[in-house]
Amino acid sequence: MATSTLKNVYQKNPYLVTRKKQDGTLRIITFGQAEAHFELEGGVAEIWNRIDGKKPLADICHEISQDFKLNPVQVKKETLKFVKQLNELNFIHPKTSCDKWD
Amino acid sequence: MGLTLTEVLKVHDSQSHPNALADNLGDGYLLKNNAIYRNIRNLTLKLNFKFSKKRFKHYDVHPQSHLEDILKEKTIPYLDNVTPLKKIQHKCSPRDIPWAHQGLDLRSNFLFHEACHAVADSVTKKHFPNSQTDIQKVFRGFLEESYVNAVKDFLLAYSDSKIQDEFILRNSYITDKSSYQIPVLKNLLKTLDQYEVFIFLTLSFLCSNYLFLEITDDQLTQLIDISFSKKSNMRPQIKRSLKAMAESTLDLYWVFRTSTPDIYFHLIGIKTPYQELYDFDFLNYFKDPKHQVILRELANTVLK
Repeated sequence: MATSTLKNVYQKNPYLVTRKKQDGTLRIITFGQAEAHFELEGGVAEIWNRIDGKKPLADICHEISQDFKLNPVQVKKETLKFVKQLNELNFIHPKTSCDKWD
Repeated sequence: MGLTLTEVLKVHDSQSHPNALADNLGDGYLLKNNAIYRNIRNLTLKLNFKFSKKRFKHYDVHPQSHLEDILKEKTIPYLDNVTPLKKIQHKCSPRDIPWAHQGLDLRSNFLFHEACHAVADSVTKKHFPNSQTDIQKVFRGFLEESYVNAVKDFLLAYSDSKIQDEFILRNSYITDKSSYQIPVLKNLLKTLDQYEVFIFLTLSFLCSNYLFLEITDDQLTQLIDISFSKKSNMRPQIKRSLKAMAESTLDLYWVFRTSTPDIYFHLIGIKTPYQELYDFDFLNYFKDPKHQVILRELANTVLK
């Protein structure tokens, strides 16, 4: 699997749905598997929300560190770590010339 | 002491109706004793649907993928589930097998469920243009499914006996009558207009099919506004019951809520990302009184 870099643009798996609960938690719903869903909150929910198939990770990190006044180095580190997990779960995929979900 | 096989077959044989399928367990009994079951059957026949034991090629393997065939052929498949039971009864005699015996766990007939879909389709197709977007196609599919879910609950709410419950369970996808919302629904039907409760329940199931995780106070207000004409003086206790019922629809079997539509989307050629499909704001759509007509038409099919 390719290493995540801040230059990458990621797109979400189109066969997923995200739902927001009243307490702000996000639930990522996968289809056809018993209770297979994932809950996100805080910073990781912010990253997930901003992955749109257009912005590179570097822009997302910049936005988050600006909006929440966080250490940019730490944000980049956490973002790359989270994106790697999402990629492994097949929830996101780097946008390339050969998109697997197109 | 629970029901026995002999008692169940005796009740089946003793209740007939002109439209009954003699080899579908409890069919005559339900037609005679349950107005919801009878209304759906009458409408299905009026729409020129027939019931047949001749199966679609792969229906028994995956019934959910045959809805289009059922609607196109105007034929609802079913199984003779009486003859095998009578054979068992005969072979076991003089022993009377308890009805709850695991060995009697025969496959249910889904004809009531399919008949509800036939009725729903006849209503919704008048309201949707031929060239639908993916979002409209999915909305229509979910509305029909929610209607079927609501009819099923009304069917159970109209049941007044244990034997009727048993026959209902053998005629649909329902596997458990201990369903949360039935007692709440029965109580609400004593105080509220049943047409409006039906619309509310259909919309609640729509929330469930659109994968709502909870019903917020704001969403409850919207559901009530769309469904009920006299809501200004609705008692808080009634609102609480409505909320409990709406929330209980979210307990609908999770795999059913996600796996069935997932396959269905592919079968009908949906290409739009799921998030866009599920973000359709149907509560806002139904705020428009002209869009509410379809809800009233759907309610009219069940509650004549």
